Amino acid sequence: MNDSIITIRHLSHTYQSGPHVRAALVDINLEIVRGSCVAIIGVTGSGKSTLVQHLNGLLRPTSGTVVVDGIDVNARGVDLVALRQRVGMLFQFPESQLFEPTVYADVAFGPRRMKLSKREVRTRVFKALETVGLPPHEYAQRSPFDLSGGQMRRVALAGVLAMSPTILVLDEPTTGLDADARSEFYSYLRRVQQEQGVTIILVSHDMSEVAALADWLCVLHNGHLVTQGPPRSIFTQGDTLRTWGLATPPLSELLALLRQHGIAIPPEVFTLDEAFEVLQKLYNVPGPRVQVQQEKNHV
Amino acid sequence: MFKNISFGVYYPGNSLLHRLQARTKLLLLGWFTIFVTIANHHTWKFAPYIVLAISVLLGTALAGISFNHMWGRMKLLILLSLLAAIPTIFSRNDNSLPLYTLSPAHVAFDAIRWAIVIYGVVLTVYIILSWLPLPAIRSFLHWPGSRRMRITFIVLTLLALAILWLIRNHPPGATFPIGPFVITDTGTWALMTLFTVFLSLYAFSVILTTTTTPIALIEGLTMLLKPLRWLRLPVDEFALMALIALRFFPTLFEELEQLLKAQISRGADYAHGSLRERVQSLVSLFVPMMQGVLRRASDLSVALEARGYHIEGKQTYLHETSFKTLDYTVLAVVIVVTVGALLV
Repeated sequence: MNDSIITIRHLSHTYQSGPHVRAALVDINLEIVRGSCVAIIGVTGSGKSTLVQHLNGLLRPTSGTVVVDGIDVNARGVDLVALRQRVGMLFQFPESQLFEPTVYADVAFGPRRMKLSKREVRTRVFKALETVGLPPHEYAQRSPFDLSGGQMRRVALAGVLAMSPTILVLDEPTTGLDADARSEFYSYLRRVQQEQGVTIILVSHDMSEVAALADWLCVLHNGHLVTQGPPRSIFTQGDTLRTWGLATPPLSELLALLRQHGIAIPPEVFTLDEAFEVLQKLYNVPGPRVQVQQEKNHV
Repeated sequence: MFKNISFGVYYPGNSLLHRLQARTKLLLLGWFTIFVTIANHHTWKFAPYIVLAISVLLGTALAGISFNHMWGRMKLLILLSLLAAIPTIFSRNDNSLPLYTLSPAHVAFDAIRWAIVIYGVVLTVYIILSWLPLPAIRSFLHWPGSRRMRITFIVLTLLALAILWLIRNHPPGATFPIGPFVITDTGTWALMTLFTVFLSLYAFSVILTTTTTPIALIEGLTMLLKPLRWLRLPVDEFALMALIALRFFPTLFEELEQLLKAQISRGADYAHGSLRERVQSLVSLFVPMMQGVLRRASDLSVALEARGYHIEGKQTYLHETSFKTLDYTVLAVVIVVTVGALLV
């Protein structure tokens, strides 16, 4: 891989509280390509959150190196403020971090810390709010606590985007959201990735979320990076994934079930469109594609 | 970053003291307090103190705490009590027997002045060295211990200036006496008893908290306070409050840690920047934190009511426990031995 934005070499991390020592990460080697969307999946306690917190220096490696955009995170005297500006991080339930009386002030919190001019802050806040689908003229002066859960989460996302990061780390960004708010959130994320070329790192155990967004998967199990690859090839290994406590997305599950019942579906079929096409060919049923498109929005 | 703060110091285990009821341990601690208070009044009788020392050692061994760990927990207190001992041992009482007298020493003001001058030279050398752009010195200045050294230097400098100002009017040849110091028998005895009582009671409380979970401790305390209910004191309310607080400490700290990380990630800085910026960073931490606490409290009260909690009702405990043979045996042995030691 030629243009990797993040390089992790032999990263290990051990938590120590009193007499208890627990290895959270063991010898992780990973490269993340600039502009890609990488999902880190694994069951609770597999070390996902620990891994991503190394990316902006919230945690320090017990051993090994983490290089983010040319900055060695563990180096002495590294400018953590600049690093954290480059690596935007959105935690679980980010709506709980909102605190300012207005949406504008909350989104401006980060940019103001960067010592930008007033006008620059304003441009950035407006642009960020625009990106997450909250028109500034309508939302900027409202209290963030009057918004719906999904909107609050988007305000939090805007707060991170306003610092114009080159890497965006999201820790289970859609847990607790309903299906509509979820797909809306995905569409804004995709927009950020495509329009601003931001590298996205997604921590998740929701497989349909991962299948919808990521183009590279890393599977963590008990602190070990057990496998990585494009979702297409990872999700064909349903049985292996289950030994790590993970499932495949509903569609892959369905296709596997159909295969078990003797329907010849090639293993590379991954999206709903492809599945539809294959089945259409198999059974020679002419069908309207519009319907599929609609269904896809719901998956 | 909060992972290193441990609330309560409970060490899981299955030793004799772990198996003892929390009530028993609390009763024993209370009894030992009474015991040492009585023993204090009998001058030059060692039996109670020998019993005390043996119980501390035995308790530590029975709790499965390593003596190394115990030393780690006690060393600061030992140092403090040694410092406190200095005035006690020289305290004078009219009818006490002097054991040893240290004759008065004469100190010349000149000597003090010279000492301060030498200190000044050392300080100047240190300051000049720290200005020099040598890499070895640079790395030394980044060493965390050097910060502590700088603070010591500042304190010493202020002290030296104060002394210089105080002795400015004395002629160079004059001397002043220090002493005489008299060590008396009551002073020695008071010191010894104070020392042992203080340390042993602290050791007992360390043993208690290492072998008892905070929850069991509160439940034990509530059961012991039961008689106060007849005086219409709110024992159960206290228990509920304490138990909820203990239960939610770790949860709230986890939340606070998460929040801290989230706000640091979006630019909050608690250690640098102007006062205004720092205050704003703190606001970004406390406003969401208070919101979380209040939300949790209201959820909890709804949950309590939904499950039929009623403050006037009779409370029961999740871990309903009663005294066992072990508890009675330990209590009996301790009381017999201590009362025996008092009567000897």
